[in-house]
Amino acid sequence: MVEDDPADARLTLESLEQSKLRNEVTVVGSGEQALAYLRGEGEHTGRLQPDLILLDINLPGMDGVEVLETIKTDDDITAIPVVMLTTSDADTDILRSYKAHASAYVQKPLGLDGFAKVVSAIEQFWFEVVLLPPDHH
Amino acid sequence: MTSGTEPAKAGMPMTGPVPSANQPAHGVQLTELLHRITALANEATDTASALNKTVSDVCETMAWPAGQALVFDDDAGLVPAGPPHVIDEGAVETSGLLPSPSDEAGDSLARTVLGSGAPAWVRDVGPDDEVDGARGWLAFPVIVDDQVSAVLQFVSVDHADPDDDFLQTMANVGRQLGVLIERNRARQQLEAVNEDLERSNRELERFAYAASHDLQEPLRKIVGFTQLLEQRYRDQLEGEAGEFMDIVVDGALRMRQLINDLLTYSRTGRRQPPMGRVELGDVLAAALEDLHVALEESDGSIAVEGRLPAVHGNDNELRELLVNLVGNALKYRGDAPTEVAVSAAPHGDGWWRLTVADNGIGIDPAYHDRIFEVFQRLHGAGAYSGTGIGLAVCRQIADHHGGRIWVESAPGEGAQFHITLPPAARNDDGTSHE
Repeated sequence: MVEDDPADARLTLESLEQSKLRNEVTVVGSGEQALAYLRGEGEHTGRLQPDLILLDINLPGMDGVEVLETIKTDDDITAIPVVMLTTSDADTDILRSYKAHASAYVQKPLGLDGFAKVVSAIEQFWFEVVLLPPDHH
Repeated sequence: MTSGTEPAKAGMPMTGPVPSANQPAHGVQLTELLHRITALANEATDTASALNKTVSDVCETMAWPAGQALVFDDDAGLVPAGPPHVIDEGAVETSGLLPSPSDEAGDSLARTVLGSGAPAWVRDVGPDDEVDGARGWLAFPVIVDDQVSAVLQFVSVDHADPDDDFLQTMANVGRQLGVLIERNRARQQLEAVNEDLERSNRELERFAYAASHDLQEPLRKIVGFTQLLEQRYRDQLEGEAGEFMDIVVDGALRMRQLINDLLTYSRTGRRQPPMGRVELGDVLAAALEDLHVALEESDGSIAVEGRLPAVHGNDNELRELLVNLVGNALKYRGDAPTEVAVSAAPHGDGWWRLTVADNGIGIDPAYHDRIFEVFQRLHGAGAYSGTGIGLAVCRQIADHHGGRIWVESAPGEGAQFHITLPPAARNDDGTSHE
């Protein structure tokens, strides 16, 4: 999860914890850190490649769509599905994201229930319904 | 009728050959001159060019060698509206030909006119002039709001006083030009006001957008963490704690709705939707689809009385309008099963009056205007769902279409909402999706 607001990250984590699926979530607070993590650079050497990326648009430094674009140009990580999980429902943001090949765009819901439903739906879809790209490491 | 003023040169003997006075322009030529100037004044949007054209026309009509239009500016005084119009460029030394308005030596002719508001002329400029045939100077005012806004000055070949016909014609010319100047000024003011309004609207929209986004973030935390509190510490909380937290969460949720509504309202206001031919019957069908859940739940019936016409408008906005009006009819129902009737009647000049009538709880006449304002709700929070923005948006939509929206109603007697909409243009083709 790429999310710079710790409280928002916490809410998402709490919702994820309540779901039935066991999963491991790594949270990074900026686009730059996200790229470092995905490329296994620096402190992130040896990390497991994630199966799914939850990406906020409003980040310090690079914004989420710029991060997305960078991910998609990198052959090693371009296949990982990216779900934009962000506050904005502005048409421009949605369009930019899909144009940059986001797999999905979800607006952060307000209440915990809403969050839980959305996160659970994301999990169900991406981990139960969908076939993920095979690991190529 | 005023007489001319004589400058200091008057009385000097003429030493050059006396040219034969030109024939004064005939009445017909003057009438045609006035017609041309009137037409010019009606169509022109640029004051200076209209003044310059007038000067040229008068010179040509009167066969005078030169003329110039001067405009009065509050800061700069009398300023030429353009270069002097000169009939025979080769023969004329233009500087000094026309009396200079900035002549410090004494009141120039133009300044005299400026001060008196009346035409002035010098009918014998004496032998010092170097131009064949130049014998007199004339200046005429253009008056707007009782003030001289411009002066038209000429060099003439006559050394007689201008005749009444000519003076009358010039007075009328002055009047026509005055009307033009007034109109152009009003238009410029209007444009300035419009620009201000547009800028203000843009700022408001930016503000509303930013506010709504910035406000949602703390709201999310209020709701999310209060709910977490509840979940995590349920067993340790006693008594009213749960109730308090419900109230907190409920408040935050309603605030979120208010913010969304405000955003909708500001977006709608800023829209300039594409317009085309719209079949109201189709729009109503689409609106009813949007409302089908509410329809089922309310056990209401919608009837269309007569045929719904085509109008000139935007289909998405009109659909939104009908969803709001029919939705309200379903929401504010009385004890009887809801009956909604949609009809249209001619409103004059090809316009239509669309009516959505219901048999619900009705609205007190005291509030018939207020309900169209933003966030004006007549019932307590919680009595009916929604935040009171639907009708404000309806009014914005009516405005976009150039129409009006109003209500006829009394408590317990249902309500009829009327909207006027423009006729579909004869050559409208296809849809208004663009």
